[in-house]
Amino acid sequence: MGDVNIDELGLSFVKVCLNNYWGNICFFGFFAACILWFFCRKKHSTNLFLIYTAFLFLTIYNPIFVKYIFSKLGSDEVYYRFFWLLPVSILLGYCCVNIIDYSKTKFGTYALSFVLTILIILTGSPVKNIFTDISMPDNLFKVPDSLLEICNIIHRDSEDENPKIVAPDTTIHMLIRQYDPSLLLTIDRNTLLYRLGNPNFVFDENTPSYQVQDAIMEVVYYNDISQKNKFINAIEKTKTNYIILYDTSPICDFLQENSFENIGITDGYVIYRTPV
Amino acid sequence: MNIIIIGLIFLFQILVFLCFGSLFVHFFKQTHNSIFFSLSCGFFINFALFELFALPCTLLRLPLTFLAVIWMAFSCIIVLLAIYFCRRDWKSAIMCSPKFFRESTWTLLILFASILIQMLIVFTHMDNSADASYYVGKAATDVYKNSLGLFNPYTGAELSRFNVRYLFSCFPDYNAVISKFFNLHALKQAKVIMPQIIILVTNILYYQVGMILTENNRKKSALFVFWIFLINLYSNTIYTSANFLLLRTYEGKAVLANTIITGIILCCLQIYRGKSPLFYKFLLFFITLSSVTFSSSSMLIVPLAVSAGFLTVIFIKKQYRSLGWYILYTLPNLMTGFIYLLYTKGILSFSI
Repeated sequence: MGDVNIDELGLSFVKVCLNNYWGNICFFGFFAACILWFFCRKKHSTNLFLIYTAFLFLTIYNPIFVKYIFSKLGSDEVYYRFFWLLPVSILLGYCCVNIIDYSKTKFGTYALSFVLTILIILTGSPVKNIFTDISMPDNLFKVPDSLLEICNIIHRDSEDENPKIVAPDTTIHMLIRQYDPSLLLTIDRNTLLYRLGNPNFVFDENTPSYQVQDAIMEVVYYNDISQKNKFINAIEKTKTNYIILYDTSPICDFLQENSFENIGITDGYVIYRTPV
Repeated sequence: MNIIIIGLIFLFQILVFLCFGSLFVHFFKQTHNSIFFSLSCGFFINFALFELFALPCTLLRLPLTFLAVIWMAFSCIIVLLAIYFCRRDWKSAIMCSPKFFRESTWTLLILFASILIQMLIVFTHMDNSADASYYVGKAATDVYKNSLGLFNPYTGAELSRFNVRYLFSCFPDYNAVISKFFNLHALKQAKVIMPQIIILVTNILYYQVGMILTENNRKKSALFVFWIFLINLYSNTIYTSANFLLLRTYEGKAVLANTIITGIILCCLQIYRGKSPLFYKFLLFFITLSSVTFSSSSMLIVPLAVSAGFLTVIFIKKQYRSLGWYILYTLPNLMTGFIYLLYTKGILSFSI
């Protein structure tokens, strides 16, 4: 949650994080109701959950504790991970089992199960629609087939075992070294995410390392070709060998005018060899 | 052919976890527990012990092949010991299983269907999250360079110092070891095989928690797992543990959020109830130690979970002698947190 911090939100930080964590899902409310129900029923089997949850709310979910103690750690953006400690699905699952237990007939069991299922579906947000969102991956590497072909094209052309490349988007950038670690990337992951506006990363934009990467990102990601010399110098300085672009990229002509050679096209991507 | 090899390597790892767990269960004479429970115990013991092998190898800059050979040799010894000591336990577990199936056929089918659907979701999901470029990229880089953490997984450049934030999280190194040993691409181990194992182990733990809560009612426990599956399926925001379990299963954080925390809750429940406390205290130790392997986020999360579930029980039941156990549980994570703090303050340096 890079867009929330304790300094700005103060005592409402925990509440805002909790709202962001659950979004429109109502399960936290159901969880609170379950806790109350089990407390009132004095159900021994769930006593530990009551103690466990109470401890968490007195400590890590306590706004005062968070504001004056947790804030010293400077880990605001990962505070949401503490909500993993809450046994929401376990307690809700147990609650469902208990509710169905009330039924004395098979019809009642099925009816209650149906109602609970509908309630979960209507008040939750699906991770995947198992009827429409499931499709087999392109291959057993679980990367797009186009990525495999991009790597093949580069290796067929390159004399170097470890050519250095620039990817056209975060998808290829994040995946390519997982599939082919022999390829080196010019742009560091964190630098790329920072440049694309991710609030979880902070960089000093005046460092030479950042500036040289930025000169390349300006052209490849933002199609800004106004500082041609800076871009060419950055390519030379970083010893970048290949640039991958979308075949519809408006900078294809710019690259070709500056001696970047088109060595292959595959499935919407075009690969250019740099003059380096 | 590829899928058959992947299936065999999956089964090999399941066997190794089962052997670790069976020896542990046999040693504590807890053989009345199911074979699946032994598998889940073995999962934690495997990674807890792997950390003790992998971290020194990393710090000593030893090649990946060295770690792969010694870890596989150790695993083979464990398998042989388990076959020798536990074969009767396995035999009696297999002999009892038809009876369990006959008693609760429909509910077991619902349980298996829930687990299979989760495995299918995880198998078919194609992910390109930024964090995968670390978890999977590191394993792939380590295999390619035959090294442990000496190269930047994001760019491939040589590192001048260890990335201390992730230094203790040897989970990607485990995937690298398996990939190196079996000559399997790191992506297949990290994104195809290991997620299936994590789904299986997590659901086994849910079932075990269900058995405790429902007082050993198998049918209700099976339905308990189904309800958790449905709730998780509909708990989608980018932050929830369910999102990590089903969409980012290959990350150490997914294991922490779902498997580790459920394991801690399971052990604390049994300790609270006074059932085989020594066994579950040792199991809790392995769980907390293995949490260091999976994610640096466990530095704070695991001590908090242990404090909420175990420390509170100590004070409620006035079992103050168990404070030693509490310190043992929190020590690995607090130590890694302390070392990381010293590193960020510039007091410690981990140059390569």
